[in-house]
Amino acid sequence: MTDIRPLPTLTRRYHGEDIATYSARHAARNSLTAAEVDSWLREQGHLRSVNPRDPARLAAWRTLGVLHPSAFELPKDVNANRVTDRVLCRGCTAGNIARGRISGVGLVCLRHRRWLGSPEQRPIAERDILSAERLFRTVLARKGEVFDSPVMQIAAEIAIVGTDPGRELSPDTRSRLPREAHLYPIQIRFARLLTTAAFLEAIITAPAGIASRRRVIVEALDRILPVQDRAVRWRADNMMNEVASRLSREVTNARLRGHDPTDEWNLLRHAHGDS
Amino acid sequence: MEVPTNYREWRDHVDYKAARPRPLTLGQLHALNRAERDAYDLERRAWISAETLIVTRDMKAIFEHYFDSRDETLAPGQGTSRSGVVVSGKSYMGKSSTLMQVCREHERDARARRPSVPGVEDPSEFMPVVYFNLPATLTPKALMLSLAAWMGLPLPRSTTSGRATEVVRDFLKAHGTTLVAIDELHKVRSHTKDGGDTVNALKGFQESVPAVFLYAGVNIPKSDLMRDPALADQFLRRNVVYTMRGFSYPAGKGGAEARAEWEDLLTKMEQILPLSAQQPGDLPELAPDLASVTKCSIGSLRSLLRKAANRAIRSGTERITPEILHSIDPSYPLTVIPITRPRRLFTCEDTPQSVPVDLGA
Repeated sequence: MTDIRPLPTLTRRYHGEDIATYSARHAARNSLTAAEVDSWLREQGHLRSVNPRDPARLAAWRTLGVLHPSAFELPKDVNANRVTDRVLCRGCTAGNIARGRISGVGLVCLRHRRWLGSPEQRPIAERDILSAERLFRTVLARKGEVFDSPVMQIAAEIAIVGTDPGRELSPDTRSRLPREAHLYPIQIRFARLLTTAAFLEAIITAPAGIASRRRVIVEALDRILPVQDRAVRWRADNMMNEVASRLSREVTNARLRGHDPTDEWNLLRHAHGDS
Repeated sequence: MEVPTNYREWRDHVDYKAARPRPLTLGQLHALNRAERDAYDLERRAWISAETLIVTRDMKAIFEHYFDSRDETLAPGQGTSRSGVVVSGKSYMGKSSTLMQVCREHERDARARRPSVPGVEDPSEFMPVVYFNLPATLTPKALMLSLAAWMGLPLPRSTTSGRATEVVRDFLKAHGTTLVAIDELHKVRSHTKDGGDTVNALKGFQESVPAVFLYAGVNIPKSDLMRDPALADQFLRRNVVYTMRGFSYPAGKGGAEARAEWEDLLTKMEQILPLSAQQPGDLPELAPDLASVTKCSIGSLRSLLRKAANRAIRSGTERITPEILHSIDPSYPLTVIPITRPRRLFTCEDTPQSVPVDLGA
């Protein structure tokens, strides 16, 4: 068995980058393919499993790239929210395509002012989007939310249905950035609202019943949605009410049956201030 | 001589610079205390075992051939084959040492010329020289896998010959390799199928990489590489063969120049010996006997003088004497033969081939 030695040309691993793109890039910088190196590792008896995230393979590539022993140890979940694999900011990776998992970062790279969401990365100049990202990092990330957690997805849907694309976006900005980017500030505000203990308490255990819950929601929508157009806003209203009623029903049923409520959206923990 | 077996060892080899110990007189040496003396002796032994440069006529000629070949590769993308240099000669004539010296100089020069931006450029991306010993078993695939292994590229055995060649070629191009030195060329047997394929692979490889190719091997014109005339012809057309002359110590008036050359070599070797009692001219005085014992082989001479110098240090004589040389090699006579009456005649058979060489001053 020949010892594993670092490949002659070293390759920088980007923050949060996983082994899939790192191994491909590191091998390519040495005129090889990752499959060839894996095959050699297997021949030499360093590798037995075909699992790309096999601990032996991770250790081998750490040696091949002279990486820190903790490299490739990426967060699987944060407060029960799964951290999804995604393309890292092209600015941070010097234009290289690198995938990985980073918690604590939303859909914007603040350093390079780039939109990281779908369909493709674009530069951002809008201050409100950058401010929204700062809000995500300082408030939501600290509460254990990730860029695609259920709360963020619900917030994104409410933002989409609650705004009129024709009114919200000017023609020049519409062509450059995706609509999701422009709605990001509204999405963050909804996500922040949904993770506020006081708001959750108000909509789940509304003391004055459904009417009270509806009033709380209307007030919240008034504060967040910029266009007071009822023809558009009723969808957001509906969706918020749907979320509230499902949460309320779940909590009430669980209380009656004497067990803990099922936290389908990993949202109820915020009601108790767990985050 | 320790041959670097991979690029890391090669880099260490290039970076290593033996520190020459300060010369001390016998009085100064005896004034050292025990610890100082031990440290000084260790320093001296390291210097003696280091590969110190002694410029010989052969070395000058090989450098000239290398310069010719290097200048041909300066314009990139020419698309035509460039001539390499094959250094041939008997064993222990210093072929590998000379080849390594050329490589060292090339690497140091290439590194010095390359602009470096701290923090931006990764020094590991630059590999100007590949110095490589041919493996014992030679097929095109084995050749390329060995080259890949030298460069630290882990290619699996299942790789095809074509893919291995592609990887090595791409790597060399990407890493700015401008000199490929291949030693032990005499291992190639052109009359066998594998050997013939290897010659063809080498030929194709040399044409596809924009680098100077230097080869070294024992008696190449008479080696198995030349057994297939067609292949040998193709190979030789792409490379200039330089056969090392070595040294000789002939008797008579006609041999004065050769004798002076040998004595000059001994003078140079004496100058680098860190012995406190060694007097200038001691070694040239032993020229005929040293020529006889070493058969004028620079490799044998270096080996003998290294051992003798170390014994002189250990024994405290601080001077290379016939007694020390005799204790190492019993064939060395204990009585000094005057230079005016050379006892034994020795002449190297090899003469320079194919190209006239300007030996310079």
